[in-house]
This record gives sequence, C-alpha cells and structure tokens, in this order.
Amino acid sequence: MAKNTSAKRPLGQVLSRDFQQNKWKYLMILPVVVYFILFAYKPMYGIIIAFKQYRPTLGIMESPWVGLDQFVTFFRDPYFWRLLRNTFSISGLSILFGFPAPILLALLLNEIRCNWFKRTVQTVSYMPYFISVVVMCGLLKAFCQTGGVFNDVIAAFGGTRENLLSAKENFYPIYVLSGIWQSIGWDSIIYLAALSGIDQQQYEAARIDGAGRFRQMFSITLPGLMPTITILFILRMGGILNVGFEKILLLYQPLTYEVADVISTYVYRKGIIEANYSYSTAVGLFNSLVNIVFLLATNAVSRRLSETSLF
Amino acid sequence: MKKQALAAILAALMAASALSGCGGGGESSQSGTESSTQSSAAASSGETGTEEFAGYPIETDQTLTVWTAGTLGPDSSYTDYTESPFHTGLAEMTGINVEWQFPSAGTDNTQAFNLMLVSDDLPDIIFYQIISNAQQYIDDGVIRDLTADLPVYAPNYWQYLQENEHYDKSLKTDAGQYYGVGSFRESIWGAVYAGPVLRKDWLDEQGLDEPVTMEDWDNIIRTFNEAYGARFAFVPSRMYTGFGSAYGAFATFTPGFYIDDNDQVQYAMAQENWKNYMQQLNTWYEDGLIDPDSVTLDDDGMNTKTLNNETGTTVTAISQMSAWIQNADSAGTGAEWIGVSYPVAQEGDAIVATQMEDTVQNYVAAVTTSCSDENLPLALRWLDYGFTEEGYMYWNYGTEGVSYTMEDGVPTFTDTVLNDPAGTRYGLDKYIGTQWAGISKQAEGMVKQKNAPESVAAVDLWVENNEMTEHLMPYGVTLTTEESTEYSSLATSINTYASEMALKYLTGEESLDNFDSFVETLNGMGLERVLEIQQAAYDRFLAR
Repeated sequence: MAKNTSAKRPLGQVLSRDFQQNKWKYLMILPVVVYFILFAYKPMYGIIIAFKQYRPTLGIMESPWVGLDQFVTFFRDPYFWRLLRNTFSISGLSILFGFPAPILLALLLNEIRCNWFKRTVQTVSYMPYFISVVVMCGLLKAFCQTGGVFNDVIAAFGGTRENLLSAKENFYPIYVLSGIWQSIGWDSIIYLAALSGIDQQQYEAARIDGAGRFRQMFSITLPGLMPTITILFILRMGGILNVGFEKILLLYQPLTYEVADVISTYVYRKGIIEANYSYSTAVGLFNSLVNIVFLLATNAVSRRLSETSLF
Repeated sequence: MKKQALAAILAALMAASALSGCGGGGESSQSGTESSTQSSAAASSGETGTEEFAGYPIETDQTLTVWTAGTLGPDSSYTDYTESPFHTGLAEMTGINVEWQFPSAGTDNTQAFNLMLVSDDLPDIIFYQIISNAQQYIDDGVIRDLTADLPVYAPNYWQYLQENEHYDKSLKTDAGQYYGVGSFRESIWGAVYAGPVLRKDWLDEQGLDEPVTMEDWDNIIRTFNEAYGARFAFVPSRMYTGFGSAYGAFATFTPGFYIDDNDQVQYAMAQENWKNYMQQLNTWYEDGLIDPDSVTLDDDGMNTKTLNNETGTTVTAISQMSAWIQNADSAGTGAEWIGVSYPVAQEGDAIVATQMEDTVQNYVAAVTTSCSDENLPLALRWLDYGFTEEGYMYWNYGTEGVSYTMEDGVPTFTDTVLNDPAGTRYGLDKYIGTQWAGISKQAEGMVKQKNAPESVAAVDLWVENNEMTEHLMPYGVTLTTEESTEYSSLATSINTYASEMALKYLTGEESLDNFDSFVETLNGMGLERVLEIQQAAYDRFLAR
C-alpha cells in the first residue's frame, strides 16, 4: 500500500480525473458491474453453508456451524476414491479424445475447396448439438439393446449380441464417442472462425516457396490456431471435475456404477434421500477448488511454454 | 370468568403435554411458550367459534392463502385456479376464499418449498410432504402445534383420527403434538398398484393355469420362451418386491426397510430370504430366460418389448399395464395383459411382501405461524371440510349432476369426467381433489372408477389376503435432526453398494456363495447403525 501511494498523485485524485474524462464509459460499464455484484459476488456468501448444517427454516445465517464436518463426511465416504477416479477418468478421456476432434474437423474442412460440400458437412456435423441430452440418451439406450442397431452391426460381423450398456468396459467408449459425435461440429465453429483470421498472404508466400498442403498446414494453419487452442484447452482444464452429469445419470445403472458413478451423480442420489444442501455445497466447493488448481496449473505451464495464457 | 378458567386449564394441559413429551430441554421450553400463546387464542375464540358454527358455507370475507406443490394444481387447460371447477367449487362449498399458491411450472417442488420456508411471508396453510419433518418445523417456529385447536375447530377430522390408531400415530410427532391435517387412503386399495402381470392369451394358448407358486412361474416362463421366444423382462425400478412374496423377501433391486414379525426394522437385502429369491432370478438369467436388456430398460423400452412380443411375463404397475393393453389394441397384436396374484411358497399362504404405500400419504396440511390467531379457526374449518360427509363427496367426486351422479346409491362419474378428450386423469384433475393427494380421505370407489377394468381386477387380486401392512415402514416414522444427519451420511453408500450387488447377483457377475461377505461389507459400511437409528425412530412411533 505504501508503495502505491508513493506515486506522484494520490489515487483518489487520479480516479476522479479519470472519471471526469470518461464518465460515459463508466456509466456504460455500470450495469455489468452491478450484474456481477448482484449475481456473482453477493450469492457467494452462501458458500458458508458448506461449513454449517443448513436448515431451510433457519436460513443461511442462523443455521448452526459444523466446521469441516461436511468435507470430512465426503472424504470418509467409502466411495470417495472410486468417485474421484471415475470423475477424472471420464473427464480425462473426454479431453484426450474430445478436445482434438473438432480441431481435426476444422483442419479438414479448411482444406475443402468445394464450398457447397463444405457447408453441407458443417451443417450436418453440428446438427446433433441441438438434440436434447434426454433424447440422445434414449436413442443410445435403444441402439445398445440386444436388438438395437449397434448389435445388428456387431452381429453382421459375426459377433454375439449383448446389451452394450450393461457391460462396464463399454461405458467409457460409449460416453466419449457419443460426446464427440454430438459436439464435434459445434466446437469446430470457433476454430473455423480462427482459421478465417489467418492472413491469406502467408499461404501465397508459402506456395511460392514450394510448400505443399501438409507443409502449409503444419507451418501456417496450426501455428495460427495455436492461441485459440491454448485458451480453449486452459478453459477446458478448468472444468476437469465438471462431467456431463445428466448424460451419465441417463446412461448408467447399478451394474456400471463401478466405472460410471461420479461425484455429481452420487451427490444427486444422496440429495434425494435428504435435501442436504450443506453437503452438496461442500462437495461443490471441493470441485471448484480442484478445478481452479487445474486451471492455474495449465495456465502456468502454457505461459512458460507458449507465451499464450489467460492471465 | 369462564373464559379465563378455560384458558388456564388449556394452558396447564399444554404445559403438561410439552413437559411430558419433549425430552430435549431447550426445545421443550420453546414449544411450551409458543403453545401457551396459542392456547389462549384458542380459548378466547373457542367459545364463540364452536357454538356459532352453523355449517358450510361459512359466511366470511377473510381469505386464506394455501401453498402446495405436486398435487391439487389446476388442470393445465386453465390459465390458473380461478378457472378450475374444483378450486372455485371448493370456495363456493366452504364459503372460504382461498388464494392458492403453486410453484411456477418447471421448478423443482422441494426447492420451491424450501425457498417458500425462508421467505418472510409464509402462507396460512402449507400442504406438502412434511410428514417426516413436522417436529423440526414446529421447533423452528414454522408451523403451529394444533393439539389444542383440532378438537375444537376440526371435529370431524379429530374424530377420524380417534377412530384409527395408525392415522392418529402418523399425524402427531414423537412428542405427541398434532401438527396437521393428513391425506388418507380409505383402504389399501389404491395403496397397492403394482404386481406380477402376464399375457393371458398365451397362457390360454398353452393350456396353463394362472400361477400360484414359483414352480408355476418357472413353468410359464420356460413355456413362453419355448413357444414364443419370449423372456421375462422388467424395468428395474418397477420390480418393487417382485416375486419376493414367495420367499419372504421385501425387495428386488431397490433397497429398503421392512418390519419383521418381532417389530424389528430390517434391511431387506441383508436377509437370507432375499438371497434365495436372487438365486432363482439368477438361475433364470443363466438359462437365458431373463432379457439381458432389462437392467437398462426404462418404461419406453419396456413398452417396445411388449409390442414386439418379446416378453409375456413381468412385474409392473397398473399404469404401465393399461398402456400396454391400449397399445396392443391399436396395434392389433392380440396381447391380453392381466394381473395375477403374487406368488406364494405354498398354495393358500398369505401374501407377506408386495408393493405398497402407506394409507397415510406423506402430504400433510399444516397451519403456519404466519396464520393469525384470528384466522386459525377459519383455516381449520377449511381443512376439516374434507372430513365432513359433504366435503368427502366433494373432494372425491366433485359436484353432483356435473362430475358425478348417484346411481343406485353409488356415486358414479359422468362422461364429462370419464371421457375427457385428454383422458380420464385430466377429467378428474378438473373436478376432484383426491386423485393424487387431497386434504381428505381418498375414496376406494373413486380410485376404482379411475382405473381400467383390467387394472381393477389386478389390484383386487393383489390386495386379497395381503399382509404387507404389518411389514410396511410407516411414513410417519420421524428421525431427529441428529439422527437424520448421521443416517444420510451412511445410507447412500450402503444403498449404492446394495443395488450394485443386486444386479450383479442377477447377472452372475458376483456369486451368491459369497453372500455372507456381502452382508459383512454392508455392516462395515454402517448398516447396523442405520438399523439402530431406524429402530429407535420406529419404537418412538409405536409409543406415540
């Protein structure tokens, strides 16, 4: 603080001068500031119920303090490690396979010179994004049954019919692949937008220098995309513990709990027994902490390696 | 003078009940003071109230506010309750104007309820699933203790409670405080709505009789498999107790408690009986007689299976069976689904384990502390209406000449209701209040008319010789705050493990030879403590 005030003019004076000069800009940003205070910062005090035994009739302030009890309950749960492992597995696999997929699609689309074909592929590939999760999972369940489409294919190749969703080794492939199918087109849009921002003169210059298609892709397109990829990757890592809760809930059943039961589904089942808001808040807080650690770590690594980072 | 004396007596009674009932020191003094203020109010208006009551409709210009969710909502064809015949009719019949409050469409009911609780402005009456939280709400000063007021202002309801011990126990807390007006079923007819069903046409074609024992079932399932390639299929959540009745097992795939013959609370899946039941299911599974899709089936998937003649035997609810019958009719598959008795070990045995709900529903109408002393008598009169003869008819059948007519002394729904373009269910929603949970007694005659004849026949079979009431954990059993915190921290992992293992036993992924270690693991997860908690709560319930 002492150092700040040692600037030439006092802070207050700087601010008031700045305000005089830019008062319309300040006015314009006011709604945004109010929005964040009201809807993002004010509700934050609710986090304290993670350290209380919240009772709806008493309200947030009056409910008794219980310290770290809710966290201890969660960490001591017989299924804690399994839930954590499953959450990381599902999320990790989704990132490993789901993250590069739209980049590849965007690169491929970028190479297509036939415009109407490119547009058609784009539209078709992002259609599934608009199908509701419930409908999609209903379809998946039907396809995975012994008489379903997937089994027809398996049988055509001489395999035996089985209910694909009841075997735990199938859960991750079904989850990850259906996720890719649903979001690949939509997610590629942002990369296509970034691609259109790459200076065409670079390609011309490369062609003159005799670079082929692949050379151009590796030396111009990918480097051009890199900042976008990095930022999106950092954001994605910041949500490592957020898995597609509804989708898992719709696809799993007790036989696949062993691989599919994740933190959010478990807390959901616990919530059904008793509306235990404190416990869910504690788990939510734990999730956020883990997420932010991953976000900061990825951000730091990226800053060192590529000089692209969020902050 | 008379007034003061009455007040003094009531206050003394209240103090006595508060002292004798409540063990927890701090809480008893709180509820004590609260009830003494109430009892004086009751006493002061009591004299005028009882003597002046001249029946319904009551002449008043006061308005009551009633909050509810998940039941009693106006049919969706109306913009709000002011257009709904049931709601406007009720106001007319009782003379009391009610401002109904429903959570906006799409919100979660429990969440809406909890938000309503913390708002400063509580409605006069809340009608929600509070049966197991009532004590807490009284202690927290949300709802009123009605012990002194019910006999005065809700005499019909009070009498109804006095006539039935189970109802009486369910509607007061462990401390003996009456906390609200309940929602009842007249009999177990309506509380039982699921059981074994099969295809009658196939049964006849094969010259088989309706099954009684598990050998009969085994024979039928094998015969259907050979003749039609059909397998036993099910939606796991719709199996309820399934064929457990033949083994004395009180669960299939959904974990739960039951009361054994010695009034002890038991975990259904930790029993030898359940193991024997699972053994049979596993044998069928290994023999290819159970559809492996069953573990992931939902209602739609099951529907398709029945339409494709892939199954001819299952356990399900009447609502599902009715849908299959309709589908079979419109598709012309010739499938005739009927309900058959729960299997028993020996012909003539009573049925011990079936799907059953408590005849006391978990919805209770409570008067909040925001309801003024002045309004309290009116609120209770309004709540008592469903327990008068006239009110019972209105809540169950609506208005005579419009929604029902008397035929040979039996109230019979008119075509307006039964042939509602959207379906009978919607017709009922427009005119009556007891279809789901109402502040009255749900009439057996209403439920029977609501359902298709096949469903009625099925339920008739399922309730016959049914002893499940003796084994059902009553909905009114209440855990203390400390107990419920401990219970919820243990129960989820136990139930997760049990339901996981149940399906593994079915498919043979886990062998039932290791059943002992399964029970040991359950105990290691705290099952004994969970049972202790439930037992203590159940004992308190019995002692009410």
